[in-house]
Amino acid sequence: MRNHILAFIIFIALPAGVFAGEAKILSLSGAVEVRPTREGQWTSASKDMEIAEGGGVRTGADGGVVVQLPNKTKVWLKESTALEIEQRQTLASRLALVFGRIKVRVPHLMRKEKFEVRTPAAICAVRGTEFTMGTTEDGKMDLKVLFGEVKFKFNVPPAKGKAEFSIPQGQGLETREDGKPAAPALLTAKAEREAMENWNPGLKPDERQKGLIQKENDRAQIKDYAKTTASAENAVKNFLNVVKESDLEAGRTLKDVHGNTVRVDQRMMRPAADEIQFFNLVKRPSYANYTASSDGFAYNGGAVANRLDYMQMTMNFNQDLPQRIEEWPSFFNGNSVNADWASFVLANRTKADEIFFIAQGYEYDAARDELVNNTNVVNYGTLVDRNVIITGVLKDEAGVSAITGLGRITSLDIQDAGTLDGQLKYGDGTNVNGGSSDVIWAVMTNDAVGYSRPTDRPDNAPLAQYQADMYDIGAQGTGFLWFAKENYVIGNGGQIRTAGDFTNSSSDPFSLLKDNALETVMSVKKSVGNNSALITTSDLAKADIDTEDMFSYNGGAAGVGTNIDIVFIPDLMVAAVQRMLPAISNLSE
Amino acid sequence: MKKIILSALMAAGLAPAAFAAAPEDSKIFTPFFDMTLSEAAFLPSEGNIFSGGNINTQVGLLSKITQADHLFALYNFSYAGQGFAPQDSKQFTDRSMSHGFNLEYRRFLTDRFRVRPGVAFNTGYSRTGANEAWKNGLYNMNSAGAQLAADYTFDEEKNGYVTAQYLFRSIEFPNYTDLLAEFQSAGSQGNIDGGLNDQVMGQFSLRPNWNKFFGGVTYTVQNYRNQKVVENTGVYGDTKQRDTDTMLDFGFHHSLWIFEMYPMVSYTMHTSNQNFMKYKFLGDTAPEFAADYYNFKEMNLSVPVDLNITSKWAIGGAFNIQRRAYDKRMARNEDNDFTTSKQVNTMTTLTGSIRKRINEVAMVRLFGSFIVASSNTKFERYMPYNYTGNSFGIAYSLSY
Amino acid sequence: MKRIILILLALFLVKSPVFAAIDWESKGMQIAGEIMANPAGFFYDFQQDLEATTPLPPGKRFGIQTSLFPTTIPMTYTNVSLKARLHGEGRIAPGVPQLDLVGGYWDMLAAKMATKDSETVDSAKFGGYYVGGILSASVSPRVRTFWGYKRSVLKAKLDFKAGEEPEFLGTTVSSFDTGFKDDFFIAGIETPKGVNKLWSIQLNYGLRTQTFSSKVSWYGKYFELGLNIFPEGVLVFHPVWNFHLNF
Repeated sequence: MRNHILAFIIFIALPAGVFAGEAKILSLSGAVEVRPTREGQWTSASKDMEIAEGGGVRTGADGGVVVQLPNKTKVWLKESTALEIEQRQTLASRLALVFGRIKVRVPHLMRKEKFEVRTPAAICAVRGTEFTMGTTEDGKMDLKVLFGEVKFKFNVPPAKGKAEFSIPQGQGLETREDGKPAAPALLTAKAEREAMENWNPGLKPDERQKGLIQKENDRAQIKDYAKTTASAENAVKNFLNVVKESDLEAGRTLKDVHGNTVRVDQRMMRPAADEIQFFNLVKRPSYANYTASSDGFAYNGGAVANRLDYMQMTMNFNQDLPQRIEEWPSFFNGNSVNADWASFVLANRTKADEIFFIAQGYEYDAARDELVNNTNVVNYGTLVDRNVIITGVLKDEAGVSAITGLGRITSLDIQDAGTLDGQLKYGDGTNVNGGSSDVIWAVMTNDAVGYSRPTDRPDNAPLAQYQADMYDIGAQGTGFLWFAKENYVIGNGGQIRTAGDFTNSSSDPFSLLKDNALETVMSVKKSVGNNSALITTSDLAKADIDTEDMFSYNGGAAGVGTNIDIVFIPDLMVAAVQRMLPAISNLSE
Repeated sequence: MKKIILSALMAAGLAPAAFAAAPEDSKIFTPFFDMTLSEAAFLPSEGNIFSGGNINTQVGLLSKITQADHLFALYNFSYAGQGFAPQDSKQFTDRSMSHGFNLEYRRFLTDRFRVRPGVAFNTGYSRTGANEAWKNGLYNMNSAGAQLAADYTFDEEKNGYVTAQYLFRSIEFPNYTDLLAEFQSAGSQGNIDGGLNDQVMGQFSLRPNWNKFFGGVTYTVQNYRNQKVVENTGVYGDTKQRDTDTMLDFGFHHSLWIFEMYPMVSYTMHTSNQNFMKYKFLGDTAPEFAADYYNFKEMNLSVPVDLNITSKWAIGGAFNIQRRAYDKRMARNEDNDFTTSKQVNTMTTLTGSIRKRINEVAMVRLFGSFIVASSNTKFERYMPYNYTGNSFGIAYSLSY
Repeated sequence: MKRIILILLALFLVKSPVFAAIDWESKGMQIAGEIMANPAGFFYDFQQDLEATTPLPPGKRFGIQTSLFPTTIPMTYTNVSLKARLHGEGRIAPGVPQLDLVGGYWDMLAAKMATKDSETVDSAKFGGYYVGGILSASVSPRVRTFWGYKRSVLKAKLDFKAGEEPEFLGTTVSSFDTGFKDDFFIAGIETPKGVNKLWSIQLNYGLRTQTFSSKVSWYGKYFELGLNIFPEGVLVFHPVWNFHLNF
């Protein structure tokens, strides 16, 4: 009665279909007998026969049967096996394997439900498990756990070794006859395969592994598919031609501080065996006219389309460098290499036949053992040991195109023309200013104070700097010009950064480099007063900087020139420094 | 893009959940996992020691919707680090990483005939050193495409079948521009938003297979969308670049006692209408023009041999030779001038390895190889052409 | 037969006569350059060594782990990690994978000790944490695959003493806050090599910075030996030794 009420309540409380009454035979083959109740008789089994609690099932020498318990547990019995259903309550089930081999698959159980399988020697508690178990009547048993975990306990603690084990999937336990303690061991491939094969009754031996073999074939097929796909993708990649004509390359598209879209390409190349060339090319499809800030310098060039600017650094060594950059570290280490000369050229090359440029050269001074920028660069008679710049607008001249001329200036193939006005001659004697070009050299003054803003910067002020220095044309003291620079640290969207963006970003410095760039706008302006001695403060310097440019450009009137607007990305510097660190550190020694 | 990758990975990740924790071993889904990772040290004859690795992870799923309809899905992550590479392909320090998704549907139309349409997506990153960001790589690439293949089995006992496949890919290089060309001859490319190398690739291949012999012929056409052909004045004209490639290959798998051999030979003919203007440096006013710079014929022979000493241990060796002869490209001498002989690159590799099976799914391999690369081009400032090298490494692989 | 094999083997492994000597000095400078270029990445590699991203072995519910080498010694990253199993495989419903929650915290002792004696630095915090979840499913009794997600954060914060602040790009800096953070996707396969011995291989891929690493691990009852491979890192191989207790 109580059982009935209990069963009724449980039947209502649980989702329908979970409990279907008693254990049931799903399928069978060969000689199978069932004892439906505890006190019943052994009768021949048939499909869908029910076995109550206390009942049992056994197979003969060629029999096999699958029993399903109400909690969806499936038990497969092989031949010569006897199984008793000792307990089958809602929250506790226990099977007893008298002898033979069974495979049990227990699905997930309810929270407090217990499921145990007992053999003469031990008892196993399981939850959500699949395992096989074999035993003989005198207690020799063999347990293989396939999925889940089995808590195993000897009924009689053995003389040696532990009495309880928790056996996870992939392991098995065999009781041994030689007196050694039983311990779980990893399943071998063969044992696992035998346990995993199809235990359904009525199958011939070679049919049992059919499912496994089919799975293996499927795996082989998908493995093949993976292989052919990978090789197809590789083939696609192999077709993408790469012709490398430079050592290092980097590029980025971003917006500059004036809002123009900019594309920056950086390369490092080696024009000759003893020369390195690093350049930063900048292209803007459109360069809008802008009004400079009060601290900055006027721009007179107007709106321009397809604007090209570049910065180039060339360094020439006294020995040929090894062809491959990988050999440089040991080369610099082993030899006394020094640079012969170096030059920095910044140019606005929007028109190939009219180039506005600013160049600085450095020559090796053996006495000081370093590269020095002074009037020796232009081979001026009297040595003035201050910075020299060469600047102006180069146009196509007879026999020397603007590009060729700039190339010569880059190689420092120039000398003072001797006309006492800062004019230059090429190394072969022809005048640089053949009739259309306007190129001069100037040396930094030693008495005028340069202009620099801002003077002091509070925390988190934008990283923008304006500065200008006064230069003496031809070192004569009669004509002066101002070399003006605006420097900004900008992000990819053109916004000016602050120091706080770098120090308080809580993201790694490496990512910061990817998102930032340096922009510098350079121009050469006239001096209003043309007297360096009067410039004693930064404010006086700003007042002396004319809004008119020194050199006119693109057919503009006198004073209507242009600027050089370079965006410099750090991408390549990091890679170059890392590659050439041994070389650089040696050079500085 | 990242979101797509993430959700696809999550979906792939939940796929095993659909059938695992095995109680009923699923008849519908079969998973596939393969992780291979290798790391090696390279010692070139010139230059310092460097290390590079390769990681290859593949996750796949086969769904048998019905007996005749199968659906394959595959996600592939592959990273190729520094290492020796054939000449004119990449520098030692170049690294690349790619994610690929492939989906294929297979249908058996008759017992012997099967069609396989599929789609593929791939995104790849590359950079030349560890200190550049992957995001900004000049040669980053995205590709999407589809393919249609058909298999016909003509000899079931000896596993004889023939496959015909047509593959289509649209490839984009979003970061790649060439401002240098712009500077050398203004107004030539006019393109600063990237995508100079964008192209559409079509490939047709026919591959028969019989009794462990395999071979095939593959014909590929690449049509560039933006890149134009440079003329001998240095100006990029109006013709768009177009490359074609024909490859023939043949190989077989042969087992003799404990030896296993997989020799393979392939022959490739590549033609392109692109020429090349050689500028030695920025501002070079005397560039040299080379017509049909990219046409070549290449032969590739590889003979891997494995010796299965025991079921766990195996010794392997491989011999590989690759030879590329350019049709019209002249070799360059050390001063970066063209000489009068056509460029020929050869690369020979000899590899030895010891493989141990950890269990049925995992294995570890120790390998060492010796490489000789030679070419009649002596201009090696930017790409290596002549060197010898050794490499030693270890590889782990787990495949289920 | 054996002799031929041995000779062939010797031939394959013999060094080429043209092989140049290894220049360790410039290799060291190159490594220094790589560290300077991406310091956060270098320190994060050691955090990856202590991150416990393998699932709990079947049957265990809770685990504590601390990493000994190369994190505690010599990098002085004192660390502790916890793993908790929310539910086992197939417990909630058939086919639902095991879900483990993992998390850990580490702190660099050397940074704290260095600031005690420093005149310019007021306080230095160098540490990090990670949290994540791992799903694992068995595809066969002895092969388990696992998938997961983790979020890793590395923080480096320096506070300078008032009056001793350094200058950076023309402005005085009172504190320096940098670090590394990313979301990682983890995928791996695990197979047992013996009772209480698991061998696994996994890939960790950072979605935002595309940092990735591959870990091979021999996981025993109390100790774990690992080989972490960072192909794009400064020190490519990190041999790892961890101690754990699982309940």
